[in-house]
Amino acid sequence: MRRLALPGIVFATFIFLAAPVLIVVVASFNSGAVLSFPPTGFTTRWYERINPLFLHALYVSVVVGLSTAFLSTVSGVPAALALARGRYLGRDLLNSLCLSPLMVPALVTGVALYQFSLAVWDVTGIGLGGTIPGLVLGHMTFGIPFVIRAVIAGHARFDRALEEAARNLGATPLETFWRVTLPVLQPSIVSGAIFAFLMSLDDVPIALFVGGGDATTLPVRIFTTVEFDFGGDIMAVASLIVGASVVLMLLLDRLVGLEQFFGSRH
Amino acid sequence: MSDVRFEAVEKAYGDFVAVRGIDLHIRPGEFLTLLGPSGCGKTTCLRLVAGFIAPTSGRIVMGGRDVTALPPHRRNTGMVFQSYALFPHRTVAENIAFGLEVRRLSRAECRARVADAVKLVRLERLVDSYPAQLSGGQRQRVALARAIVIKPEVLLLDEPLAALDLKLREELQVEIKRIQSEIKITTLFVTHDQGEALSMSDRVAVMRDGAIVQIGAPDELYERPNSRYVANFVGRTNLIPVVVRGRTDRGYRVASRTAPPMDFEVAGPQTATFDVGEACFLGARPEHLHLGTGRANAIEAEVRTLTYLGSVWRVEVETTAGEMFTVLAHPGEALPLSGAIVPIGWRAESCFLLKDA
Repeated sequence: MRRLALPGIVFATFIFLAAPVLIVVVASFNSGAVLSFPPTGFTTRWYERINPLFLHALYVSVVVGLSTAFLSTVSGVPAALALARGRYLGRDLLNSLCLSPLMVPALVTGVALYQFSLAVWDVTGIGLGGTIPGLVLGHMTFGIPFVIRAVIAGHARFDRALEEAARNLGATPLETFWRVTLPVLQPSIVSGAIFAFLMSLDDVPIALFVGGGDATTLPVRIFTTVEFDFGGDIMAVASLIVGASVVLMLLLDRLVGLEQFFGSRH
Repeated sequence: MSDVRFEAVEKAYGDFVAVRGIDLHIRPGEFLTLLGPSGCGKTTCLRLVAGFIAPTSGRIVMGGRDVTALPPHRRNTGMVFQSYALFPHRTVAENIAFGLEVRRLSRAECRARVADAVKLVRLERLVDSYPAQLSGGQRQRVALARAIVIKPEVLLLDEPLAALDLKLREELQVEIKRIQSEIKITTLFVTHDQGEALSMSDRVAVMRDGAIVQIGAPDELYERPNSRYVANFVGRTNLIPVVVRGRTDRGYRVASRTAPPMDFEVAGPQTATFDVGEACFLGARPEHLHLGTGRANAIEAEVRTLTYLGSVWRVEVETTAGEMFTVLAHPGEALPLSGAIVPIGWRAESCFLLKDA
């Protein structure tokens, strides 16, 4: 009995976590009334009826996600190195400051960014609200901390002797950075970037305040649709997202390994 | 082949002086070891040569060229790190090729020199492996190949064997020595292991608190240490407090500072001169002490413990003055019982005098 207890608990937990997702997938192929259970027949018509607005929203989400990931990485990696290596006054303070956006509720950040975009409009006449650059800026507030956190964590295992070895073998500081430091930290950098991308893709509160109009992301589009026009095509869209996530996870596991990605392996 | 010269090199970190005014000449092709306990400044010396740190004062001259102000990548030294510091994202061949790549050598030349280096350290079958797939000894060989493939003016070894087990360590000692003499490269080796220092070096410099206390060939150091510190750091030594009674044509006549005093004879060259009446120490190595009489010097002692070490027995005895001595007895010799009072003797040539400092 005791040998079966642990696997049983694991399996039950898995069912508990996966059941809602499975129900959505099943519902998306249900020919009966929306959210009727058990399903009455098989159909793909919800998939055929997906509103083109969702496709545009997906496009916005991916563009915003990729830009967020890229810009967060480009600015987060040097910041992380400065925080991990620097010996200067106020480093701990700076460290907390850089990670603090992760501790503020996204809704608060959303409201603040909304007010910020209004202020920018008043002063410069540049409208950030409802634009993709505005959204990217908004998402970088948590994208950068994610990258910084991942790189600092990876750096804790970085042997500084590697850089000394490179210098000793004739590499300039710049060559050392490109040929040794970056490649060795690459898994942490990639995991930080992917995290930033996923968080951007997942975000609703900030996109709700800063986005809108042409810059409506997929989660926001789904959110507003659920509110006003609940139908089977939502289930279809949700199922597609689930499918895409599964594929992404498999790819990630293949490329970097999920344990490495979530930082549980040392 | 280049030489390396420390000229009054000093390195201080705030109030802490890691290296205090070292003058040292490493001759071309020489294998010189810095030996000392951790914190004695030996690794600091190595890092000063590599250029990772700059001296507070003094100069470092390599092959006649003052390199004190040069950054590490312009010095042409090859260093083997204690942690090996192999690049985890590069294969064995790519690790070894690193220094050649940054020197912008042609691909053909790179390949040829990597192949030579790989052959020298006998890693032909592992060129495409990654460091994570190698054993400690194999990593050590890669690190060595990577350091020598760039034909450095001086090879720097920072406790390269410390992380290996005993058998492998002995194997690599021989291996490093073979490679070093094969390519005749000037080598500065840092270790806290006196056995390693004695077996590998042309000369050994014993360090203490940032200064060199004695430098010499391994046998000089072992047979004629110049201080109690060196005598105890390099091998084991039995010490007797003595006072000089007079000179003989071959050395000194001394007497123990006990009541009643016992007379001893010391012969052969000493590291310093001693005045009549001077208080000093007489030192003798455990393997030079013998159970039994019939030698120039003799004392009586009570046997405390007997330990079988395979090739020899280690006999711990307590002298009448209450000092613990170690004697090595060879198998076949008659062994005393614990608690027995035995005579212990040694020749005048196989003991030495040490200043009372």
